[in-house]
This record gives sequence, structure tokens and C-alpha cells, in this order.
Amino acid sequence: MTGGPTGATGTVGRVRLDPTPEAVALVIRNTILTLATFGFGRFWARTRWRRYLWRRIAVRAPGADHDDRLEYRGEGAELMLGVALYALALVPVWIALQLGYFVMGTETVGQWTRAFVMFAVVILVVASVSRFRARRYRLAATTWRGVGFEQGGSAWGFLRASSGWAVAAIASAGFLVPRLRLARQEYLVNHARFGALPLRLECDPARLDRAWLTAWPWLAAPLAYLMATEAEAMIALPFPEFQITATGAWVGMLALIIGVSAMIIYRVEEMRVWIEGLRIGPLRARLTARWRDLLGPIFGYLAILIATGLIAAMIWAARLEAIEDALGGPLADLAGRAILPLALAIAHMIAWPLVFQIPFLRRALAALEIEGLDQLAGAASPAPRPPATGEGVIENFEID
Amino acid sequence: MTDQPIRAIYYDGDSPVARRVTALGHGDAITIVDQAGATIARWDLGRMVAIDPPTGALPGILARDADGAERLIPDDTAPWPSARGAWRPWRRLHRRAARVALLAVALTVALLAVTVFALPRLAGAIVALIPPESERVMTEAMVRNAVAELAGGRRPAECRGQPGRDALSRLTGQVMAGLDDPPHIRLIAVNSPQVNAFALPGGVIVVLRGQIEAATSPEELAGVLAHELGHVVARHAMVGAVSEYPVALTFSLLFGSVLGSSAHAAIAGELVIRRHTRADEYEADRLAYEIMREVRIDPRPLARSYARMARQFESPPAYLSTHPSDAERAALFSRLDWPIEPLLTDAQWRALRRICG
Repeated sequence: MTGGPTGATGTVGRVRLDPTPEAVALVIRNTILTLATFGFGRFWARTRWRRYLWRRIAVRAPGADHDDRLEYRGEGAELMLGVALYALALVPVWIALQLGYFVMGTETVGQWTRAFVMFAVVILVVASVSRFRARRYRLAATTWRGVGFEQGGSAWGFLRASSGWAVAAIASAGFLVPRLRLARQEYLVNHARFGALPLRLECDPARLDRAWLTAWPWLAAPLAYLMATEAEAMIALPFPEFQITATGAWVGMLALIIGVSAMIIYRVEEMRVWIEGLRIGPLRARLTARWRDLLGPIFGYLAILIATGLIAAMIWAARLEAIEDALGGPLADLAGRAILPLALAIAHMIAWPLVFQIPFLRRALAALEIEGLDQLAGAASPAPRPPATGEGVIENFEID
Repeated sequence: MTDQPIRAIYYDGDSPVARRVTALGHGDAITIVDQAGATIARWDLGRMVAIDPPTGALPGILARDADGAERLIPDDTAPWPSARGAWRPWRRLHRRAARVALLAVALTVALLAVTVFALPRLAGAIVALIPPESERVMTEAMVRNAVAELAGGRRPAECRGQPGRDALSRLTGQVMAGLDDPPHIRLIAVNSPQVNAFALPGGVIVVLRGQIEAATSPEELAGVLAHELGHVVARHAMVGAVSEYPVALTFSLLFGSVLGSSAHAAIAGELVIRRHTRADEYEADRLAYEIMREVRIDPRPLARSYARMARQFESPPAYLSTHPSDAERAALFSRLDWPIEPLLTDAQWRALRRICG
């Protein structure tokens, strides 16, 4: 059917991404649409991008003369409705949270800590429910070979399955984070179906633990140092009488850079373990890429964001007087607050799909081997698509 | 008449199995035939839709109808419809999202209306349920932090010159006499050169040293205090705290994301919050006017103060401003006229101006 080498040999099916130069035009169009509509257009922009990307992911079964491509069936309006419904539900929650702060008080470090815990619990619940619902919508909007995916289970079940591990992960200073992430993924995958075929996740947690052991100390050591030397300042951040020292600030900054890097390396290895543990009926997969083969696009994306932030800040600082003269004080003040996030937003909207997503997917999918494609059969009945109520929050927090 | 057969891949929408087929067009339908020559499906051309056209090397996707999962992927990647013109009339899938979009727009408009218009009123009712004493306890740490931040490391942060404090208490008492049911307030003079004064939650009025030194008479400072007292009476700080968070949250959710496109969300939310703040300022001005008339405080020094500020500082456009313009306020207060009574003696006024040492 379509051109390009198949690479499918023996009993192993191959996957590949076929990006085209149209991706650049689409990303630029989506960026302009999103900015010009004050963000409302992002629902349609995201849908168009997913439709583009899904359609360019091709699976070639062994011995086949054609590709089977993914199809995205979601709609921009569904995403917009999902966000509106979520906002409607969250506004009273937010008001209750603010009143909770007042009732509990925040004037002492102890009270502030309690208020922060309350906030963290609310965020955990909202993020968990959103994560589940976003997955449910995305799976239901995806079909392959004319058969749809379906996410079973419930948001509360998902929350119950992962909250114990969440507490354990916090109590163990992050050591059990892989178990938390695995528990979440297991709940989602083990409750999902492709047509009539159940999905299963059969991972060896010890593999994740071993991978985490190379990353966790880099996160835990600076955190332990900070807790030992700056505990009060770290807990009581909003209180001016507890100031973090310059050394503490530098260690914190270093911890952030090293921690993010260690986490990225772990996540790539984790992806391999998850993919190799995934079963879709008779299908099983293997990722042959080494983790360092996949890091380029991630760090490329981060480098572009950091460079954009620095350049925007430098231009602003260097041209401040000229900008104030041109715009006047209040407008310049508003522009000053907007310019950095706006520059970062534009950089993100362009670099995420082009610098990260396409190169990353291209490398990862090319290294994917699928077994059992020739054994696929069985009746399937796609379920009606659920509402996209989780999408909004997940996108807003950028955590998925 | 039968069109030329077209090779394609067929998915039946039930089983995840791709089948090599031949599609034959004739009249108002196409027949899908498998490799053994058996007819496996017959599609009505009138209901058939093109999900996606061919793009570059990618083939197009045809569906039996707009809802079903059956798919036909012709091998031919030539652009629609020329290669298969004889198959028409199929149609491009018109994404049937109008009803969902309408609902989404209606919900969004309702949400914005609630956030922008109803919530500030609702916040007033919620705040009325919180006893002022509880508000004071709740916001104690916030006030302490605000004073420390404003003083910027100057010692002492709070001005404690006793003769000055006595004079300030006297002046405040005179202003509060203009209220039938004066609230419990705490007045703090902060050691900061900025020319400003404001009300914080919990009935706290903060007057900065710069404001006291800039005032040309006790009446001018009394006018400032009356305005801030208006904010305390209306509990604007607390109402703002309750209503502003949902505004920020709603705009962040609707317009953008925390990391991504949130700049315009922040700006939009800020503009709405500033509109609310302007309304609060008008209300505080109105209450100040009533207090000053009741206690017979000369309004002209306050008018002159606003006029001075209007000359010194450029006013932002109305939609950007948190306050009514100084020129507008100067004009308003200069028009007022009523019998006046002196407030402080010269000695008391001098002591007040030296409150920070």
C-alpha cells in the first residue's frame, strides 16, 4: 500500500512513524490558532495534531503487503466540553478549599503545613480522577484495524488502587515511586480492552526498582541534605522569618537539574519495562532501543525551552526602558508579566510536537517489535465514546 | 454499468483482522469482494463517507457510514475524487460536533458569567457568614508577613513613636466617629518610604511612612483613612480573597495551561480582577465621602492630593487600572462642600509626621 521499507520479518511486526513536512505547517497553524483565539482554539489544534499523528503511525504485520494505521476519532468540541464541565465542577471545590484555609488558619507554620497537606490531597484526587478520565477518552477515540479501545474501571477505583502507594511513596522519600507509577498503570491497563481482547500489564517490579536505584539517590541525596540543613525554611516557605540560605538555594537548583535528568532517564527505562509487559490478547512487544538513543529529543526540547526563557528575559532586561517609553508604565508592566510565559508557551507549542514528539516517537516506534499480529482475531464491539472530562485538567497541569 | 475494480484493505469493524479485497462500483453502491471472490459487504454510496483524503503517500480512508467502524482503505493514493470519480456521490465526513460544540460554548459562557458577575456577589454573602473576629485570627500571619515585606528590612518595621501614635489614634477615632457602627480596626504605621495606604483582611489598615510624610494636612490623611475605612466596612479584602481565586482558576482552565499557553489566561483573569477592584474603589470612595461629610472633614486637601498625583503619575487606560483615575477623584472631591471642623492641633500633626522617628 504505502511506500517505505516494511522491516517486518519472520513473525515480528514492526511499527513506524511516517512524518511529513506538513507537520511543520500544521504546528505553526495550530500555534497561531491557539494564540489568536486566546487559547480556545487549542482544543481543535490538539485534535488536528492527534489525527495527524495517529494516522502516521503504521503497523506492518509480518508478511503483510500493507500498513495498518491508527485512527483518531476525537473531536475538538468534545475536548472543549470536557474542560467546561471540569471547570464547572472545580470552581466550588476551589472556593471550599480557600474557605478551608481560612477556617483552619495559616498563621503558624503548623497550620500552614496542615493547609498545604489539605491542598495536596485535593490536587491528588483531582489529578487522579483527571488522569483516569483522560486515558478513558483517548483510548475510546483511538481505533486500529477498525476496532476501538475501551477503558473500563472507574476513576474512584483508580484512585483507591494508587492512593496507598502514593502515601508509601511519600513516606519512603520517593523510593517507592516506581511501585506507585506501576500500580496506576496496572489499574489502567488491566481494565482496558481492544475490542473484545483484554489488555494486561505483566511487569517484573524488580526491573523497575533496579532502574530506579540508579536515579533515586540523585534525587534523594540533595533532598536529604536540604531537609537536614534547611528543614524549617523548606516547610515554612511563605514565612519570611524562615529564609533558605544561599547554599541551600544552590543545592536546590542543582537538585532540580540533576533530579529532572535522572527522572527522564528512569522514565525511558520504565517505558521499556511497561511496553515489554503489555499484552493485548496474543500481542506482546519488545523495545530494542537503548535508553540513551531516546534522550536526544527530550533534552533538545528542554534546551529550547530554557534558551527561549533566557533570551526572552535578556531581551526584556536590555530593552526595558525603550519598552516602557513605547508602551507606558502600566502596559509595560503587564507586558513584563506576560512576555516570559508567552515566549515559553510559543516555544512549547512548536518544540513539543516537532522537536520532542516526532523524533522521539520515530526512534521509539522504529525500535518496537510486535509478536502475535498473525494470531489476532475475535469479535469486537466498540463502546460509545465517553466524555472528555479529564482532558482539560491533565492538559492544564501538563502532567500526562 | 460497473466501474473499474479497486484493490483495497477492508476492516469489518468487529474483528481486528485486515482483509485484502476488491471493491466494485456499480450504480448507487459498491460491492466488496474477498480474494476468494465471495461478496463480504455491500455499501450504499449515498451513506458512504470519506474519513480522510489521501495525503502524499498515505491512502485515504473510507467508511460505510459516519457512525460505524467498517473501513475501506484503497491502495490508490491519488487525490480524491479524480481517481475514483465514478464512485461518487460519497461525501467527506462532516464531523458531527455541532451539538457538542454548542453545549460547550453555552457552558463556557455560563461559567464566565458566573465567575465574572455572580461570584463577587456570592463572595460578599459568604464573607458575611465569617465573623470579623475569626477573620482577624485567620489573617494574623498574613498581616505580619505583609508588614515585614513592606518595611523591607528597616528597623523597626512598625513605627512606634508614642506621641505620633497617640495623634494617629486620635485622628482615626475622629474619622471613625462618622460611622454608626464602627468596626474593630487595627491601624499599623509601617516604616516604608512608599506613598501608599491600604486595607488588609481582619480590619487592618496599613499606612506607610511615605503616605504620612506626603500628606500636607491632617485632613488629607484623614481622607485617606476614611477611604481605607470604607474598604474595611465593606470587607473588600476578604471578598477579594474569596472571589479572585476562582477567577484565576477558571481563566487558567478555559484559556490555557499552567506550563503552556497560560500567559493570556493570566492576563484575562487579571483584567477581570482589576474590574472588580475598580468597583471596590468606587464603593470605598463613596463611604469615605459619607464619613467625611458626617464628621465635617475638609474634602479639599484630599482633592488637592489626588490632583497632585494626577500630575505626577500617568494614569493607565481604564481597563488596566485597579483604581479610578486620580484626575477623576480630584474632580469629584473638589466639588464637595460642607461645614468643616479642624482635626488635630499643629503639635499633634507634627508628632504624627515624626511617628517613625
